[in-house]
Amino acid sequence: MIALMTLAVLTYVLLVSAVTPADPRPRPPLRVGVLHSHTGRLAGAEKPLHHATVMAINEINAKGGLLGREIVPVLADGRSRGKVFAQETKRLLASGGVRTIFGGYESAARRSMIPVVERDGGLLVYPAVYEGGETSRRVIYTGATPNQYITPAVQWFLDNGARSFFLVGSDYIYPRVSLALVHSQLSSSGGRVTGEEYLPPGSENVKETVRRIRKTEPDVIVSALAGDTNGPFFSALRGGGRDAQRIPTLNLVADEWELRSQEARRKSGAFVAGDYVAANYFESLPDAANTRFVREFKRRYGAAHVSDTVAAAYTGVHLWARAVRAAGDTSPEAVLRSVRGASVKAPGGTVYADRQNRHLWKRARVGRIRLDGRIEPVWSSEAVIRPAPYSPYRSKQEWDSLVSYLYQGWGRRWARPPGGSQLPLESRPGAP
Amino acid sequence: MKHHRLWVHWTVLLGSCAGLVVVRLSELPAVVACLLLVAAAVLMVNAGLPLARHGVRHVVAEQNSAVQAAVFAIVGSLYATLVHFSVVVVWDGYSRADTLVAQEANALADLERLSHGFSGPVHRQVREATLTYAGIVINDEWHAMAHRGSEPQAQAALAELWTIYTSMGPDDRENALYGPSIERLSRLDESRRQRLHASVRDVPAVVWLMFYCGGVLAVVMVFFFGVRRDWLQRIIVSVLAGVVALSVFLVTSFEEPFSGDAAIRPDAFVTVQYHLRSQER
Repeated sequence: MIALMTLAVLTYVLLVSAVTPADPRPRPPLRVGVLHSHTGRLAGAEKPLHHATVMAINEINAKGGLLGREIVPVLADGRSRGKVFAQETKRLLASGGVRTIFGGYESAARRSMIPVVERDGGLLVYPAVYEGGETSRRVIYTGATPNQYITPAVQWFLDNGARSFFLVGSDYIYPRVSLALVHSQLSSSGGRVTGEEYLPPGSENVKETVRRIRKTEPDVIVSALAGDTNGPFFSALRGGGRDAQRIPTLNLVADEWELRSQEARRKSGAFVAGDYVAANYFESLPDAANTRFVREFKRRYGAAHVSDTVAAAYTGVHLWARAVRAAGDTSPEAVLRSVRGASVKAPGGTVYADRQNRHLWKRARVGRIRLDGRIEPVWSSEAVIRPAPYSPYRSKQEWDSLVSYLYQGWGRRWARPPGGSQLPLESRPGAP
Repeated sequence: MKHHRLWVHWTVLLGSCAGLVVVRLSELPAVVACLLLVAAAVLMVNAGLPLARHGVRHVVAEQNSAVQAAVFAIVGSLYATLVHFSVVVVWDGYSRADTLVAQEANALADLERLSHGFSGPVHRQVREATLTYAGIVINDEWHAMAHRGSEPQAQAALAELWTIYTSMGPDDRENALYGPSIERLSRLDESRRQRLHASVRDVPAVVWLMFYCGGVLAVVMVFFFGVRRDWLQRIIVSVLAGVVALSVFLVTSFEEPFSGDAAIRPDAFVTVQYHLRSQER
């Protein structure tokens, strides 16, 4: 009798649970900020990052959303200015529901956004490679630190017999810190720096720099020139008969987008053909996951190419989603806890979030630019590389004081002010 | 001995067999697994005894012959040898894995110590990489090894250590500590490879087959001894089944040195990590 009653009760419970919806109320959408430049000088570079972020969000929504909630991107325009990025970050975090922002590209934008994100308790997922020298507790960095692409690329040149290097960059925080690191690495590894110069951002006056390069005859030029300076620089360098085989350039800034736009401007990619690029990802990587990603990205947005930063922006959303699922919570605090040690299959291979500094472990790669502007990988590190925001070539205090020296010297800016002169290089052993 | 209700004995026999398999495959605490294994084995032989008697009732000897005793003694001795061999094999592997862990942790600590004699950047790189390696081995790789896996990040941290030494400038390469450092690094790499190999090493399938078959045969032989009192025979086969089950449990526990309650722990790495961190303070 008791058995029959138990059976009846169990049957009733099963039937009721089968016909009753789990939760009759629809769950509210999950709003996230997507903050890139849609106007200004960086709009062209940041548009693909915006697309990659939205594509990843759409993919997650197509599979049922996150914790049963649809992800809704709230778009904002940083207008290519650090100050606007900070204002938009504040506005997004103040608007209802947005706690996580995917965005930023230039270091100036990131460094302007971080104080706001930290103060207002948000979370920034930042996709670009950067110069290191910081570890914000409110940022997940999906771009690389210098030891994950610059240091291995310079070492690759040293291993291949290069000994003398000329360092040239645009005069803002990323090239100054990155090339200071290259200088320290070369001093420590038996290399020699034949010259180091910084041009005002956007400057096309490159003749004097090119003259010095020719005079010192380095084995390799390490270039952290950005944007409009690249075209005049390479045409002046290569126009005089110096081909890339003679003095190859290792580019730390130019990714596929920038090279393609140069090509469009110059009607030829010949000026940079044969040069090298240090990165973590190239569109031409042969694995199946990357092929699918590239095909889908191009189909959706009509993109001509996919850069390292685009892949990092796409990866960032999926990594964040994985951390949210693991935590069962969308709050920045929960995500920052659960993202430690998480891994995700990215277009360039599996990446792992570091337990300590929330940067990603990635492979370093060196690519060679072909005549058609595409980049073919020529070297890859044997394993993923641990992210080190503070390069070991100097102490943390030394890096912090370098960043502070530049920021104060530029009048509390992250780049040389228009019309300003170049700040003297800090004391470096072995400098010419 | 009563032979009625044979279906009950069959049910218990098959149920206890299934229980043995489940206990063998599940990840229960060692004490619980051991007790369940012995209980299932005892249950199984007690259910099997009447079935055996029923199936071959005409051949069960009422009086035990000297030949029967001699054969049982031979089977028992051979089985004991097999058990001994298996235990020695797994224990040897277990203790070697333990030694490898200690060697690897020592090499890691030595490497960091030796790096104090190099330039500041090299020392900083080695300290960071050794701390990272120890942290990943403790937090991630140990769990992965329990499931016969490894952690790619640990391999990456080791690759970083190699890169530091192979890309050193000429001044650092001339340092007297360079050679010993490379030697420690090689030892670290070798110990790691052997540790990972030990985590996936198995007792050969043929040994397990002989182990199980031998145990079953030894127990079944006792079924056919004629003992006047039923309860006495049940005690004899229960004791034998219990001993066989304990032997199986012993071999199983040490077969995989990095999983289960008897797993080797990363204590050596924890100590190294503690010392490295205490240097930072």
